[in-house]
Amino acid sequence: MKAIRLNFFSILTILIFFSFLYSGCNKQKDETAVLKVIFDHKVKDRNLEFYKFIYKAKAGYPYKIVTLRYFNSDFELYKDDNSILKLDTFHYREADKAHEYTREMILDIPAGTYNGFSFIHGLGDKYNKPIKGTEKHSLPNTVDEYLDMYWPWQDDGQYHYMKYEGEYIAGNDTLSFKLHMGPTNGNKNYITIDKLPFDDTTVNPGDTMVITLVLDLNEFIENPETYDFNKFGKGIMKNQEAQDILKKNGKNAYSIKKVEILK
Amino acid sequence: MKKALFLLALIFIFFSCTNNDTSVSKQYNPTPFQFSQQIPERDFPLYIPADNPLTVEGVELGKDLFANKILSVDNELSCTSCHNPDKAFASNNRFDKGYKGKLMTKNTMSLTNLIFNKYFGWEGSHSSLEEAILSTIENKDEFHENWDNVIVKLLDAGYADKFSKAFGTDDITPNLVAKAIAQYLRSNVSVNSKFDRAYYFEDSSARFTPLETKGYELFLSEKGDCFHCHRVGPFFDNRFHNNGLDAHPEKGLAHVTNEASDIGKFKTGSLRNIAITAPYMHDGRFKTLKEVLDFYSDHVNYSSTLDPNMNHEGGIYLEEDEKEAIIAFLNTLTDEKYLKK
Repeated sequence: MKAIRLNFFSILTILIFFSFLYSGCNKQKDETAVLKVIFDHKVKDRNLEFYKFIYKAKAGYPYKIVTLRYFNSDFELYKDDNSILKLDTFHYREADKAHEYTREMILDIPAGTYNGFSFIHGLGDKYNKPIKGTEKHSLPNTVDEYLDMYWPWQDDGQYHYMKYEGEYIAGNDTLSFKLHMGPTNGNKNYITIDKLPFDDTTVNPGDTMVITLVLDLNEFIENPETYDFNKFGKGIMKNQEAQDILKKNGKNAYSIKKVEILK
Repeated sequence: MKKALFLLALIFIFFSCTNNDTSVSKQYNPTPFQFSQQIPERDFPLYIPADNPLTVEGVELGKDLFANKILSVDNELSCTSCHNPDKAFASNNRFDKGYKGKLMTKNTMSLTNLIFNKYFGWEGSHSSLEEAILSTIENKDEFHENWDNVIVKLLDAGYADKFSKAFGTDDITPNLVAKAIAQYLRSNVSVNSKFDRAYYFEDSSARFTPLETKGYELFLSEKGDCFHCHRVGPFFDNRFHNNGLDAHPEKGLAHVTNEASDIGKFKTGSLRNIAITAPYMHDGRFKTLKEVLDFYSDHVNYSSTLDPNMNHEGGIYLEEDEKEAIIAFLNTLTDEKYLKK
């Protein structure tokens, strides 16, 4: 068999050939754009400010907010051809200063024209599987913040969907409220946020589409049902009636503030 | 020929760029440290800085330094003077004595399971364990020593060889002293209590009694509401809370952040080995677990930063048998094997 001898130029030719081949295989990469979702908050017509008694609940109580932590998952982007792009991921948001890095979620998406966004407030089934004994968590076990959302009745799931806590004034008493949402007694209890529409927006390859979401925290206690802190007390993790009101009210709690394209 | 030389030059440049750490000796070949017990990974994120992995040599050096009075002025104190290894690296004194016998203002924290910690000190004054160790040496109320003296003393005592084995350099620096002690402390893991054997390792010989089970159920209920801060696993949450000790609380975390909303907040202490680490709270005001539960039951004080998890109406109102049950559960968190080490 004749030995093949390679000189400098033949090696160079082979390298150039393979680099063309490689770039051809990555043509799809060139069609990739970026989705950035910003998770912001308000309380009715005011910005969210912690530790200030500046809000008034429909049930009649002045209140202040101390803690806000929640998950979202099962994101979907709606295309102009009526197809849906499923974004199989979750996001953890903690709203205090120290966790400002959780304000944004950034993902690759195909370039295209989109006109709506939907998701789950809480965690979908994939990310909140019931576990037994020493089974692994559904979410990475390397992040303390996720583990802090521990939900102790693990036959239903492992995590709180939301911890929204604060104080309210009832008569002469200053009391605490804890809106802790999660799966309980066989009820999933996460909230499916239906399509939030926006105008047809085209994101080109390499560009970034920024969707700014706003979660109105007052909605949870006001619309359509009035949530009475005094009625439910602060331990509602196994109280399905309280969970049902939060589920119903939370359905209206998100809106899209703006959608913009960054070149 | 020119082309061949050009290729050779490129190869030379490539390899010359890949080895830029000339300060480390060629013989430096430390042994990776293996924990003597299994850590149930699902509930325990490990905090090990990339620039200070645990090695057998580093841990051994750290253990030596931890017990050595050479780090303090006049060789008066060692780390073990306050952090007693037989007491899960805590102390049974309300306040320990520092430089010249001066009483500390905070209760000595347990240094067990620091590998699961993100913040250090009751007020979160340090964001790394190495930083906390560095500051202890020069703290006027603690070791009151300066680093130049420490290094001279270590060199005189023949430590250069141990540092060489641990870090591949004969140079003794403050950072390396801190790194060695930090490695030792991160190696102190206690996850082999009756609770662990029952919960994580499914050891049938570690079955809970009815009283312990009742206590655990209360712990996990919204009545007892212990679990929101003392997360199952490490039994703390790497966060800071105002648990209502005082109507006019100390600054706490606000001492570090200068935020009014952080007044009265202190780091959640771990409940592991809690039965043997009395007294309790940042100021050691409670002598027994019973006193702690009496406080949470009936004597919680309101202030504007009181944690929402605390009952604002004075407490969680436990019956005596409920307190007894919670204490029985807390006793299952004692790791006898670890304490006998």
